[in-house]
Amino acid sequence: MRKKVSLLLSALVVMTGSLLILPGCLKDHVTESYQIYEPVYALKTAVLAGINGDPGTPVSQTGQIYVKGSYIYLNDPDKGIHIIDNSDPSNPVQTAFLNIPGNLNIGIRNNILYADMYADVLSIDISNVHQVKILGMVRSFFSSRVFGSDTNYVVANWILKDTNVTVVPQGFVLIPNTNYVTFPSALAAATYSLANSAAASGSASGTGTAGSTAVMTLVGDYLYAIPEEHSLGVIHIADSTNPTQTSLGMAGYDLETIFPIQDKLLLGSKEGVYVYSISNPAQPAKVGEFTHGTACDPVIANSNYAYVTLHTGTYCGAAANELDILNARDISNATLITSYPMTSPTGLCLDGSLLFVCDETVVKVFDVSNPDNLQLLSSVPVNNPNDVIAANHVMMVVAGGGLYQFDYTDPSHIGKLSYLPVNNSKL
Amino acid sequence: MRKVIVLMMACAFVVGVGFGQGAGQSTSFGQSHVQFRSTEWVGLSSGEVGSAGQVQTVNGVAKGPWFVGVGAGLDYYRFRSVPLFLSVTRDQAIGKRDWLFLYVDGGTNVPWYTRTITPEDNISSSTFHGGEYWSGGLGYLWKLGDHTSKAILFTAGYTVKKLKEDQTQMFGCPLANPCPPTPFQPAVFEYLCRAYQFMIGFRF
Repeated sequence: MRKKVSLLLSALVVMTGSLLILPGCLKDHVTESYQIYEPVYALKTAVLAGINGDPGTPVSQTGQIYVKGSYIYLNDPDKGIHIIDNSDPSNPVQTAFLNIPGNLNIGIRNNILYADMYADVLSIDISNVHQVKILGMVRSFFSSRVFGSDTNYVVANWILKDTNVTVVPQGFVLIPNTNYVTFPSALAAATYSLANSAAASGSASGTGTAGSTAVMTLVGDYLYAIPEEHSLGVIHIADSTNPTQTSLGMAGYDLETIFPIQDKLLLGSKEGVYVYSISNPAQPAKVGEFTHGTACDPVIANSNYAYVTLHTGTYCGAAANELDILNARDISNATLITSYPMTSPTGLCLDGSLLFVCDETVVKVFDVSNPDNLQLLSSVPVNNPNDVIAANHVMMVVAGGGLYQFDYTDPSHIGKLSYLPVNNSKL
Repeated sequence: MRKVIVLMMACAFVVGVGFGQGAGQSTSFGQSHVQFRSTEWVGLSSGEVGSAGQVQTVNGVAKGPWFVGVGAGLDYYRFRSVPLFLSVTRDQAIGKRDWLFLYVDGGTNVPWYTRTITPEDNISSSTFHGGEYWSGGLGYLWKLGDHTSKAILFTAGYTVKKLKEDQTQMFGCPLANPCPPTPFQPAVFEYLCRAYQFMIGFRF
């Protein structure tokens, strides 16, 4: 019996020793397979020559919306602008597509459309939307979108490439054809950089209405925009054939949206709202600031009140999901009147005493006659609404699934007029 | 899923105990008639990412030196999973109450693991899928009496389990490079987990 116990104890000692020594000999094997987008570069001159796109181009993704006259200009992020004849809101017709790679922002003054093409700002004559003409360009204005060293090229397309890497041991990947390891994201960035290097070596008048999430706006002879998240840039556009950047300066932190009101600009940031005077339109000057917790926040205003939506999220911080109403009679010294809880509000707009707020799964319509006691008139179901423009009893909502239009003649009983869906099968 | 796994393991254990109590009165190893056997195991899997516990229950029939049974367990190595397998064992007597045996287990491995996703992970979704499960090795068996099937067992072996994970990753724009058309990127991870397996069992 004692012999047995000794044998078992010996076995236990051997097993314990093995546990300490042997595992180092074994390696788990982990592979990661994914698809990576690789940019295809093209000469800017060739891209500008082909800017008149196929009007039948489906909307692959919704971005900024801009309304002027009976036309809706809908940005398809990084692809271009869909021009939609909205003479009959119950039957909007896609009439043209401006194939502008890298486009995110839209502004229109008279019959000149201003649009970004990555870092550049183009002025485009849209008198004939089927045969637009490039009039001028400000190069490298949106400084956060300057890519590569050769600015004669832009990314005109993307191709999907299958990629397979060995992950060693936990979270790291092997650099192909080497014995070195790195983070997966670093490898992806390196792939982009390599591709980058390879390519580089190779009718009415006035302005229209932008959505509240816009980062570019036109006032008089000037275009104001947030070229990167801390700056306010100004372009003089009196001569559309020769737009000229007049100023660029630090304007705040984490800037996100821009909204003009009288002779002021309201810059929405993650930390608050910055107020800039454009009494001297070429040189905006800061005249006020309202701070709140860290959250994403479009801002709009009328002569009495400013309305700010705050929403939380990965990139937005976690301060609150709410609608703030500020006293804006003296916009330079705006003060918080009250806040209303929301689910995850984004874009918003005003039409008289009606306030429209996109809030995750609905667009809420409030009567704001008394800001201390908002009356919810309707909640219009729209999934992932991002921004809204309401005028002439037609509410246009840009959402993840497409462009929706509603009739709010009776704000308590809002009816759907039309829906232009996205078709993202051709990413 | 969790309920199903727990139920399956509980059934395997209860059936094993039930059969074992009825069949294990006066048996010996190596007998020529078919006999039910149940073995409960606890042990460790030890590999590249450290050591982790595992438990198993194996229930089946033995005839002569051969045993064939089905097993279920819990394996905490790298990702918690539930191996469901067929087990084949060949015994060889080396003494009156001492036996050596070889075992091979093969089957499937059902994941019972949910990745904890934090904002820093840049992952929007993660789903694990099952894969193959294999183990094999050498064991030593010590019978607790001359006329009983009850025994204590020790094994040292090698185990392999495969798992697949579908992730939706979120990528920001690479520095100084344009943003791809979508920040969401599906990725598939295939894990081949290899570990040494040391277990202590009780057979009845």
